[in-house]
Amino acid sequence: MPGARLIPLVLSAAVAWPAAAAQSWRTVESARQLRDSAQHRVHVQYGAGRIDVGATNAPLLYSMTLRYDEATTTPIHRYDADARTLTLGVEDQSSHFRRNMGENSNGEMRLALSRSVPIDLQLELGATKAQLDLGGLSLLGLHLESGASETLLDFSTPNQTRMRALEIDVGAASLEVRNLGNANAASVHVKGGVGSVELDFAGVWSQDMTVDADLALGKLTLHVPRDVGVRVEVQKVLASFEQQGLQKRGDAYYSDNWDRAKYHLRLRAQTTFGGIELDRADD
Amino acid sequence: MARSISAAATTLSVALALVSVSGSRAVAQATGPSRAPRANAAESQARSQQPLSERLRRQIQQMRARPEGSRLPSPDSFTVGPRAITPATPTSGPVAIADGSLDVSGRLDGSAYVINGDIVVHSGGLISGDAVSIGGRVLLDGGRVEGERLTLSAPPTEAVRAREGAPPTTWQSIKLVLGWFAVLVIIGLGVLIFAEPNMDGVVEAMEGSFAKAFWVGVLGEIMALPALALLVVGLVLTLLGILLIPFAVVAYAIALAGLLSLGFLAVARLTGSFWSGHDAAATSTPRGANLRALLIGLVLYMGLWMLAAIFTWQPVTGAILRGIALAVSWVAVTVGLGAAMLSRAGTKRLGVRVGGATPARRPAPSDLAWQTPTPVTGVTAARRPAATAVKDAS
Repeated sequence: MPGARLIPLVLSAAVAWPAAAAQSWRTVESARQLRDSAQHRVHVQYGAGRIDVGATNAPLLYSMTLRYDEATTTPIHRYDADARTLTLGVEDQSSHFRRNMGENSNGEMRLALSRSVPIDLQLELGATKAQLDLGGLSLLGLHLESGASETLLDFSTPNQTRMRALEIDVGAASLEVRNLGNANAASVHVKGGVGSVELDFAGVWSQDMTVDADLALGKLTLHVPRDVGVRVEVQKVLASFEQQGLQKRGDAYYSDNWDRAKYHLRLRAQTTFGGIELDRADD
Repeated sequence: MARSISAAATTLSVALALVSVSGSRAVAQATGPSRAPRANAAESQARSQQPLSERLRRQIQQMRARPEGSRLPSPDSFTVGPRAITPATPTSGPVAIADGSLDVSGRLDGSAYVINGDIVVHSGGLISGDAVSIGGRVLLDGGRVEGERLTLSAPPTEAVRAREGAPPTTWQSIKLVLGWFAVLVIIGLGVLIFAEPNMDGVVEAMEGSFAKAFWVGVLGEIMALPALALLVVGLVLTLLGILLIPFAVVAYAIALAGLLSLGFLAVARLTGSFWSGHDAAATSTPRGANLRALLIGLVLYMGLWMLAAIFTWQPVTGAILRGIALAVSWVAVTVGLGAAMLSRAGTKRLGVRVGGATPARRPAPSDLAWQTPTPVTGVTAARRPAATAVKDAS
């Protein structure tokens, strides 16, 4: 479309030549030796770009590689040895950074955390593409907050410790959580704005699980292994619910193996526009 | 006999010398890693006497000004060249080195900072603080770093910064204009093939009232965003329409882009028709005449940008020419948008030619046609309206 493209052409050619400037990409690598196995609190904040988080077997508390534009962002790698608090990522974005978010989407962060340290992990992500494989870590808690992002959260191997709380809060996003059975969490809270949320409960179950899922606009898909008993309470407005053979008893829907199943999933799902789909996977 | 004894002694001494040399080499190879730091230490003693160059001093100051380099010591703390910390020479306090590597095989009580070099912590080596390398690596060769291991890629040199911040070259600007011209021609061909009647409608609206089209275009540009906001608010108020907001926004953007495109191409065609030769127009098909006019119009408009691009090397002249090109292009886009809006994307005919598609500007009849008494297209020359003749002749 020539006319439409002419305006950016004209503006960019006439005005923005000098400002087309200065991106300056740099890479920082930071690691810290593991000193003991005391509990740590890890806070990761990352505004825009791609982020990969995983586990490491090396004798390190963490290892981070960060590619960033030094003109707009500042890397963070703070460690408070007394409080055992670790903060990693990039500094809270300035307005300048937000204006240039598209450019900064070329940024990248790779983080590996120790398997042998109990960690309370807080992830604060912006407009990112995130791949989080937290399998094998010792997570005491996980709080994932994400803006406009595409997030894949996977517990590829069982969490080594019992998780107190797993909280996920996503904005306009696509969220896929795999192997939630491995999370070793009794309670899961998922809150979504607009987008699609897919929760897969495969993995090694070690306890019953209660899930609260609240999605404003979009589709919530649940994949639950057949050997897990399911109880679903649904609150929906202008939304559909595909219950896949569940039977209604009172206010809730129950799977036919509810009474004899070893592990149980209690799900409270709420959505306004969109749909809830329950899929009974063979695992 | 004496000669043979002498020869044997010579041979023996040569053999011993060879054995001695090879033996010392073997020892040196066997103890290489541990002896290397000592050699480096001796070398570094000499080199560390070198003063810090202005370039390095500036680089360190720049790094210290940034958050990631704030922990660097002052430039005066830096020495130039490689350095080694051996078990025999335990060191305390921060060690700062520029343009050289730090080999640690002993104990360093404190942090190590190296600019443009590596930090290598050999077996038995220990850094109790942080190990920070800018423009190098922190390598553990069996040793330990109790603090943070931090590697930061080197900051771009001033030459690179200048190149990154520089405006495009003249040739780059010319290529950009040529690229846009090609894109516009391709899209123009598409419009001529698939939406020629719409373009005719927009051209007619422009011919009907140029000024009106311009002011409607200005109004359209001003109201574009408020209209979108109103649309979104309207959809929100209907509740169910909330679901349609993303589609509505995309559709609105596409519609606006389409109007701008159609309008600009129509302006280019109209402008080109004034410049195209009458003879050529008379001999070609209507579509051929339109294509010719469109190409000429695009050449004219993009020619302004090409002129500005050619003078990129001359900042003042280039800026003036860019300003002129910008102004002319804006007027063209605005008039085109207004005409497209007035003619409802060319579906509503407002021009002087009513009824039926008139795809091309009708070529002007030749002078001989006016002189002959023979009726032309059913109207005698004597009765042909003067206004039409003037208009067509233009």
